[in-house]
Amino acid sequence: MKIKIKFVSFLRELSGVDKAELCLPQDATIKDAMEKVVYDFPKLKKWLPQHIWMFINGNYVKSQTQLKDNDEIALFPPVGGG
Amino acid sequence: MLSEKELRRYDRQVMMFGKEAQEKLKKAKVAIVGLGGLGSPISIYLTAAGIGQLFLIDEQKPELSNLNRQILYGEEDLDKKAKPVLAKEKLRQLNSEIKVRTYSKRIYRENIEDLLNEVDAVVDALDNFETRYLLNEFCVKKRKPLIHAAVEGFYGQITTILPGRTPCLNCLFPNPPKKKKFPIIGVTTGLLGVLQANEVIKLITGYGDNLMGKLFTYDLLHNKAECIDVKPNPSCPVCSGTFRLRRQ
Ligand SMILES: [Zn+2]
Repeated sequence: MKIKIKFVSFLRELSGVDKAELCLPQDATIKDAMEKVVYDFPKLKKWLPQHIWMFINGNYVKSQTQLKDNDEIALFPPVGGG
Repeated sequence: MLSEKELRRYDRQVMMFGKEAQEKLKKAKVAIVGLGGLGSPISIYLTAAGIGQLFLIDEQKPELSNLNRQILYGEEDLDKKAKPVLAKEKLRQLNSEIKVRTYSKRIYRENIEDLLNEVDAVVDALDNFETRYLLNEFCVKKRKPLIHAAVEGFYGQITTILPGRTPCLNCLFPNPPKKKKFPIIGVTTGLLGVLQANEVIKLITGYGDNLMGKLFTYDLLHNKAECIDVKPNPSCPVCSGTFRLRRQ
């Protein structure tokens, strides 16, 4: 299946792209997708998946979440400052 | 009722949303929790806009390293009084018509109800998620609107939480960021703080659209904005009960 990835803020800087597309097996989870992202964009290794906020269609998702064809995973930097 | 002087003072905004809306602002009680980088512009713009009562909560005193962004304070304020006390002095110079209540203490589970029970809206201008979650739990329990923002570097996020209608902070960010000394510059807190004040003004007057159920992020370094629709987590330990109640 095809999965889209959207990078926000410094994750975009590290990956060098706004968006990416991945090809994954049918039963893939977020964890599998993140492993593929790190493989394609090694500079993100330090952050993925544990130090990142991930949303699919507006829902916060965890590593175990099962993916569907055409899902877009948006990756946000976790921020807590004020 | 608005006085002649108040009508003159707020003339340019009354031109947009009318006298009734201005009266709503005058009647409103708004808490700003955290008076640092975000809290500075929030309190200044809400004071200028004529919010009737501001509740200012922060236990710290300004330090030199705060001054790159905490624009309420100057060199003469360092290590003297607590931030809410100093803020009140500054805000009164800006607008003597509004009431400012100061609480120079940290928010805990034990005192949160005393501090926030009577406010109409809460602005999250904190710098840590521990207290943010506490604020979120309280606002969900009491059904109070919570305007959240958080920043780091040249990047920030904002969303408006309306318990029972939008996702809560725990739905959106169940895992807090790592605790650390974070890099920050005044323009980022300035922009996000102004956006938070804007949300408060629109929420109270009913003028315009809010960021309810929307996560808006802005990357000031590259001028890139994102806005995604966000949804409640049906198994959220904090707010799922509010949705069940609504459906009955
Ligand atoms: Zn929730």
